[in-house]
Amino acid sequence: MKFNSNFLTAVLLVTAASVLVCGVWRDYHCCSLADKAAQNLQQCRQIAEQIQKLQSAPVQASVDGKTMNTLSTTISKAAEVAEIPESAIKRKDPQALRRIGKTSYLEQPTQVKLDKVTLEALVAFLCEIAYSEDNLKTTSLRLSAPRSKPKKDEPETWSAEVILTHLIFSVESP
Amino acid sequence: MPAMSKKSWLIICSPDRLHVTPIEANAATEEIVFPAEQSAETLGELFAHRLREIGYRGQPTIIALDSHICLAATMPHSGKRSTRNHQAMSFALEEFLPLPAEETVCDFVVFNNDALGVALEVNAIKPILDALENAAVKISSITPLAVLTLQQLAPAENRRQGRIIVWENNDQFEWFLLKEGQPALWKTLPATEDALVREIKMLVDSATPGGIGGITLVNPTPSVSFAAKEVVGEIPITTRTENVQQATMSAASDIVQGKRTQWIELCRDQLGEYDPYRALRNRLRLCAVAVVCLLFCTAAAFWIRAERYADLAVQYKKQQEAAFHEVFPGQQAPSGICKRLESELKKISGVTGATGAMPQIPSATLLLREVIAPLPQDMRYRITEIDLSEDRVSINAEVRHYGDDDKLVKALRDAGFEVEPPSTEQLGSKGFSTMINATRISKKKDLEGKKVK
Repeated sequence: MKFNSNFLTAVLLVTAASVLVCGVWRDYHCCSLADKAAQNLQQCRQIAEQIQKLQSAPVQASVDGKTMNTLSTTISKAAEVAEIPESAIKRKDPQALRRIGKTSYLEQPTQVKLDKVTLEALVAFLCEIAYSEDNLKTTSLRLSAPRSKPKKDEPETWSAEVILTHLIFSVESP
Repeated sequence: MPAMSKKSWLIICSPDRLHVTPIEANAATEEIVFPAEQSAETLGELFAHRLREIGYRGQPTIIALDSHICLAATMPHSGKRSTRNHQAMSFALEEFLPLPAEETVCDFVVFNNDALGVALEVNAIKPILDALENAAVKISSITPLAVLTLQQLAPAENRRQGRIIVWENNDQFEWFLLKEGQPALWKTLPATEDALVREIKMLVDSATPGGIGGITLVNPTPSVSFAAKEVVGEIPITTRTENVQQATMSAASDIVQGKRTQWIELCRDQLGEYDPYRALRNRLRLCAVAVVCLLFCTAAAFWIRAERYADLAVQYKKQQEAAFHEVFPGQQAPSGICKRLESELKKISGVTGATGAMPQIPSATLLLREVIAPLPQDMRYRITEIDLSEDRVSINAEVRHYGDDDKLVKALRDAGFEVEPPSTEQLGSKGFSTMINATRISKKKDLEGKKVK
C-alpha cells in the first residue's frame, strides 16, 4: 500500500513535471514563432512600401527577353510612323544574349538593316524606337551613302545598319 | 530550549508496554503502558508525548524485544554457501516454527553445520513499530533483549566447549547454549526451580561426553543453585553474579557506538522499511498534492500563454498576406511571403534601375547628334559613311580641298572628341577622301581603364 502510494505520488509528480516542461517548451516555441512573425510582418510592410514606390518608376529593362515577334512588331510600327516602307527593312537579325560584364544584366542585340531611307526618316525611326515601351536602345549605327548620286527631284537616301539593344535583368546563378 | 543530547536510547518492547531508558550508566527506566487494539496513530501520539516528557529528542534507538514475542529454533544446513541466501534460510526455518515465512522476519547465527534462527511475527510488532515511527523515534536496530544481554555475558565464558548459560529475566529463565562464544540454542523456561531442574536433567541424559563444557547460572537464588547442583552430574556448574541490566546497557552502548555488531538483527525485510517521515506523512502527502497541483497549474498557464502566442502568430501571418495583396492584388499569397516580396523587390529594382547597378548603354543616336552638330557648315564636303558604336565614331568623307579634313578634325576636337590623325587619299580632280576616327574623350579614358584592367 505504501509502495503504491509512493509510486502513485512519484508518477503524478513526474507527469506534472513533464507536462510543465512541455508547456514551457511550447510557450517558448510559440513565443519565438510570434516574435519571428512580427519581425517578418514589419519587414514585409517595409518591402511592400518600397515595391509600391518602384511600381510607378519607369521600367528600363525587362525580366524576360523579347520574342522576335515582339521586336518585329515594334520595328514595323516605328517604320510605319517614320513612313519607311516595309520593303526598306531588309533584315531583322536577333543575336545571342550576352551578359554585360559582371552585372546582373544581359543585353539582347538585334541588327536591323534599312535600305534607301532618308536621314530624316531614319532619325524618326530611331526616335520612335527609343520612345517605344520595349526599352530598345540604338547602340550601334552605321550609315552609308549610296554609290550613285540621287536624282534631282529625289531625296538623298542612305543605307543604315542599326543594332537595337534591349536590357534584361537576370541575376547570375552561383 | 536545551541542547539535544547525543545519548542513544534503549526501548524494551513487550506486547503491552515499553520500558524506555537512555543508554548510560545508572539511568532510570520509564515504563509506558499502552492499551491493546489501539491504532498506530493513537499509540504514536501517546509515545510521542511520553518520550518527549522523559527527554527523548529523536536520538538513535535500539528496540530490544521481550523473549515472549520472539521465536527461536536451531536448524541444520547444507553448508555455509547455502546460508548466504537469506530467503532460502527463512523458508528452511519455517519448518521449525509455527508461522509461515511470509509472516515473520528472521535472522541467523550460523555455524559450520547448523544455525540458530530467531524469528519475529511481523503483525505482532508492526503496530508498535509504526507507532514509534509516528512518534518520530529513530529506530536503528531491532534485536531480542536476551540475545543483546548475552552479547555482554558470553565473552566471559570458555569458548572451547559448548556451554550453557542461564539467567532469570522477569518471569522466565533464558537458556542459551553457547558454541564458539555465540548462541547455538535458545530456550525460555518458566522461572521455577522445577523447570530448571527438569531441563538440566534432560541435558545430562542427552549430552554426549565432552559435548557440554559446563553450565553457568547467572544470579541464581540459593535454592536454584542447590537444586541444579544436585542433578547436574559430571557437568561442571558455576554461578556468576552480574548486573544483567548493566550488561544489557553495555552491549547496547557498544552496538550504538559501532564497537560490536548485534548477533541478531530483525530490523530488516518488512520491519526494515523504516520511515523516518511517518509522522510527517500526511503533511508530506498534502505537500506533494500541492506541488502536483502547482505544477499542473503552472503548466496550464504556460499552455494558455503558448496558445495566445500561436494566435498572435496567425494574426501576424494574415497581416503579412494583406501586405502582399496590397502590392500584388489577385495573386495567391505564397507560404514564404517575406522571401517572395524580397525577390519581387529585387526584380523591380533591377528592371527600374533603382539598385544603381544598371549598366549605362551608350546611345548611338545621341552620339550621331554630337558628331554631326559641330561639323562646319560653311564648307563643302560629303560624308559617305559614318559608323557609330560605343562612343567611337568613324567617318568617311570627301572634301574638295587639301586641308579641309583638318577643319573637320578640328571641329570634332573642339566638340570634345579625341581624333586620330586622318588618313587622306586624293580622288583626282574630285578632291580628297578622308577617314577620320574619333572617340569621345571622357568615355575614352573609361575604355582605356577597362582595357588596362
